[in-house]
Amino acid sequence: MIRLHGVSKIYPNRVAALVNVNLNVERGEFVFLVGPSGAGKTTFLRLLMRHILPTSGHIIVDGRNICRLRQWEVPYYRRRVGMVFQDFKLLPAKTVYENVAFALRVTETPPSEIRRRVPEVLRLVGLQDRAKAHPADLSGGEQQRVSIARAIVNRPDILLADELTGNLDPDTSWGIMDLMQEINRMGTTIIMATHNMSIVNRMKKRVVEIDCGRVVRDEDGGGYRGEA
Amino acid sequence: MRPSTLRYYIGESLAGIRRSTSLMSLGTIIASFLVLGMLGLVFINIYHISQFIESRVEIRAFLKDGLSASDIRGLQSRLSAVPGVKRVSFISRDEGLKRLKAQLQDKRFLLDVMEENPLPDAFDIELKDPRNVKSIAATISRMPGVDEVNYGQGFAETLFTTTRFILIVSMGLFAIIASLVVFIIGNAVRLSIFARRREIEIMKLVGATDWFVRWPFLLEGIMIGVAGAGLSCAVLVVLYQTCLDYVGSGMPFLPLVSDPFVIAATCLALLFAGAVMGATASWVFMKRHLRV
Repeated sequence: MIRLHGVSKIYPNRVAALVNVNLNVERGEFVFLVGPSGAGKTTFLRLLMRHILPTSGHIIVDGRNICRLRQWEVPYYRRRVGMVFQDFKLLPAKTVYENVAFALRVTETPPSEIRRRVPEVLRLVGLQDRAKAHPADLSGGEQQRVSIARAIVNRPDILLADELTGNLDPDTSWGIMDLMQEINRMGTTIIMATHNMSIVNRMKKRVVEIDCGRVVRDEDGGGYRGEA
Repeated sequence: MRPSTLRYYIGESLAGIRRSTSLMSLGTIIASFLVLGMLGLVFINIYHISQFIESRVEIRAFLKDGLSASDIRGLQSRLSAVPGVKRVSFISRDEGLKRLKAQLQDKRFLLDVMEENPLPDAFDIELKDPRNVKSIAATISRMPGVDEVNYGQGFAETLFTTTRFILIVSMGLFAIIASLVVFIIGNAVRLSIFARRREIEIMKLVGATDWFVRWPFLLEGIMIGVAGAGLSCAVLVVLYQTCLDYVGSGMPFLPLVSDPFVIAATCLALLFAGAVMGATASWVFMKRHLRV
């Protein structure tokens, strides 16, 4: 589903964020992206979002080289890729319902479809009773659930997560991870960048470790630190 | 485009206007369009007056004494053959005197002191394009039998250079005011973009198209432009009507344009200019501040 061929990203300030990365991710996989801060995890996700272009190499998603997408095709590509952030990126003036519906509205989904899908996805993330609340009234875990709901309401094939438990306490983090596994079971491919050692160690998923822009380990069912 | 999408655009634009357009900036925009509208009406009137005067520009060629009737007929046909001449009519010296008396009215005594008619025979020559008056008058003055030509020398030229001068000044003023309006509207749009930067970020994240992001801002600029122009039109119509009433009673000989169609057309042009300036402003400021 996702193939990276010799992908390098060198920023204009000559920082090499990724160097010759080759990676295949199959449909329905759950991949942890680990490594120290500044290793290139966020660059990796931003490349997949088509936020930035690689300096060299190809990124093939579903048979299409996303580096060759035309400007007008990029939004349609992004509708197939959900993204969740450590800082949630919710709109404070809008309610939970409106925040989720926003993603559908701005992609020109018919109103009847919006009214059907938003409650459905709020039920999935367990916030059906909080639809009218504003983000400021929610706990961190609840806010992250809203942002996950917003990321998946367009039914993307791929869900990218950048440190989504970074601001949450361990118990809350586990709730979020259960939700991520649930979404993964429904067929969504998940790539999740994280520093959370205990989550990686316990979930026994595929682990890709990046250090100084290079993939130094790619292991199925691995832990945060590898075999050692 | 879905009706719900259109509703979204309009709703967002109105919210943007409420958020980032101050009374001060709207007032400045209205004042600017008012000046533009007045400039337009002043120009239309000057054009109208100059057309009015131009249509009356004609050459009078006075003939030498002692020409025979056949000389005069020959001269008339030669005058008619001059390129640019529309019509040539003969004014006999008696006819000329009658007209002069009519013009002088109560000062007719000036003529009474003269024992005989001092006027020569003459031709009145109407022109196809009054702008050529100088060269045609020169041609005619060289014709045998013509003693002297009179076309209000200098007056016609002054009129033409004055209208051209006013046209150039108006265009310069138009450019200055238009850029002021574009700047004010653009600044309001910039504030709107800034106020909604988080929303824009999320819109792009979830896959809104560039045009979906742009439309509300473009509409916002157009709405501000049209609203400013519309309000200034209302003021302009009232002011112009007052001006017409004043001139009508004080200076009735001044042929001001009072055709409601012309005034409506001016207002429409102003609204159109408002829309164009608003769109331009949004576009220019979006290029600089909206990274889609």
